[in-house]
Amino acid sequence: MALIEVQNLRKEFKRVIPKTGFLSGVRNLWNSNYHTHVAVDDISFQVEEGELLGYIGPNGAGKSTSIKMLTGILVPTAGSVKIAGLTPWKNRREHTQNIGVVFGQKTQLWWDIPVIESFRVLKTIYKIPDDQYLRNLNQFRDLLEIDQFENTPVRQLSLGQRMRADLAASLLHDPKILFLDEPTIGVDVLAKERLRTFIKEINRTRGVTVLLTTHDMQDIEKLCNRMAIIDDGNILYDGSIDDLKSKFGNERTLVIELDDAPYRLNLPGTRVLREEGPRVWLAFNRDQLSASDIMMRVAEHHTIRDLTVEEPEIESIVREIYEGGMSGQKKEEEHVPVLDLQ
Amino acid sequence: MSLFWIFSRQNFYQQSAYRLNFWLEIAGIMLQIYVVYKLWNVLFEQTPESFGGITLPQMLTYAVLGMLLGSILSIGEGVHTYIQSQVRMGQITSDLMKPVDFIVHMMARDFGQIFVRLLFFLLPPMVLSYLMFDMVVPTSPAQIAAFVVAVVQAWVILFFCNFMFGLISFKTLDLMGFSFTYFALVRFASGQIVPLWMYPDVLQPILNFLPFKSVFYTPLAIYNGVLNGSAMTTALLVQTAWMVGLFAVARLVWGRIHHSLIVQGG
Repeated sequence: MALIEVQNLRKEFKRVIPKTGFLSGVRNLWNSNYHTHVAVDDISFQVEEGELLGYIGPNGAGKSTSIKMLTGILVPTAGSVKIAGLTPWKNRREHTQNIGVVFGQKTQLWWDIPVIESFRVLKTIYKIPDDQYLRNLNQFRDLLEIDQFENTPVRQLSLGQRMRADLAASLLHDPKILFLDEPTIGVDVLAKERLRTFIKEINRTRGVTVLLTTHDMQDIEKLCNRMAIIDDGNILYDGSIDDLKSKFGNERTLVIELDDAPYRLNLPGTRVLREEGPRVWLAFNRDQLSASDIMMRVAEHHTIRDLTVEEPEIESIVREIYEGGMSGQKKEEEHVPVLDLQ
Repeated sequence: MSLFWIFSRQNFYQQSAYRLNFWLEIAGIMLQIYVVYKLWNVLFEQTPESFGGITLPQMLTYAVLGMLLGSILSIGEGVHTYIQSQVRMGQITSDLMKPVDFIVHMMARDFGQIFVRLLFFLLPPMVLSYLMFDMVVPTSPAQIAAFVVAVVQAWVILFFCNFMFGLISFKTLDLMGFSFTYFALVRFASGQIVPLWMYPDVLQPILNFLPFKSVFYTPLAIYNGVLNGSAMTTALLVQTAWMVGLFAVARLVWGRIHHSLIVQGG
């Protein structure tokens, strides 16, 4: 049995349509006009123990709502969730012992007191035995260098430090599963790198299963072996990143630097993405054309000074999926190349 | 129990984080006490007979201790303001995700705060007041014990009142409008400023009907000797009844709010 099993999960919200006009504030107390908003439509997936799953989607896609159901602070309208054999919203208290949660935009630490004091409070709340607490604390001092700021109140920490402290706090009770909701948001490049290294390390050495939402595709590429793309409350893609690339990423970009200008490179089967000085970016489908074909065609009329082939970036693939759903490929085929060879 | 202790420790750090705040608050409390002391002195000298047969030191003890207790049994700040700020900042989820019962968690927090405030803002000004003013002391160990029990029960009662008041913010996100009304009501109906026996007879049934009487009046009147004998026992039992009753209501109300919260989302 998988560690996390989500089946046909659905969540509807009733939203009040606020009244306007005279005494609207008072009348809203008895408002009975609702409309139903489907935040999560029908989601099913499984996560095995030790997996690092990237859970991505545009804002408002239903990511946070599904995370809230998985952590047990929301009850779904329909469907079932089993995490380590427990239903999160029914076995709330046992479940919280199994999970660690970090919301990048919020902190679970106490604002005015030193980090280490917050840890002590958590130790008591989660009933963590002394030896386990010390072992974890020492490891986090090592890996996250929290000893540099453990006596500083949280309000004085930089965002990167606060994230490190929050990550450590969420792992003190040795959870099986770690939910990370945008853990790298607003953090600088170096600090991001450090957080990623730590997450990877924790996943590798402790076998902690990680479910991570992010808008930073670098997080996904560097951390996750699998990703699920969600939009409009449904899962659009669930699989490995390499598969995604080969399935949707058959478009390559050829960057050609030419000697002579002006030029118009309208080759069949390619389209010009960008022109900048002597350089041209040409997109082509790898299954229909090869880079050498294009090269030869261009070389007939121009002198090529330099050229490179760019692999598709996961970010652009994901953008395409967001924009066109799973039919992202079709749009490519509809594209009619202009036949205008000079 | 360790939860109550760890929150006391945490609050100790929180309080000591703002050292200037400590001195300013002590100064504020002493000023308040001085004003109340002078005021009652003047009033008493003009018409001692309207005070219902109590002595001036008894009255002054009541008034000064009312201010002192106000620094731990706080209406302006407490579990309700904590819940409100957590709800507004969207942080309440992290409190809800802890493996402890929410009410117990909030109680432990509140206890920690009160314990630390007792050390910082009740005991030092109390010593100062005894040095400066003419006040009565409880005459028997039983009276002191009754007073301590009354204060503890008063804390629990006020905690549940504040807690349920704070739950409003789950619905409205804000307490601003209600705060002032609540503040005024509790201060008036609890007898913190004016002893309840001085209110007109018409109001007495209403005051008896509210839990706030148990919050300030009961401990204060026990301390200055107005409540004694069987009346004192009755007052303590009334407090206990309020404690149990409010606990039951708070559980019920929180259960419903928590349910709608996890069903509808926060």
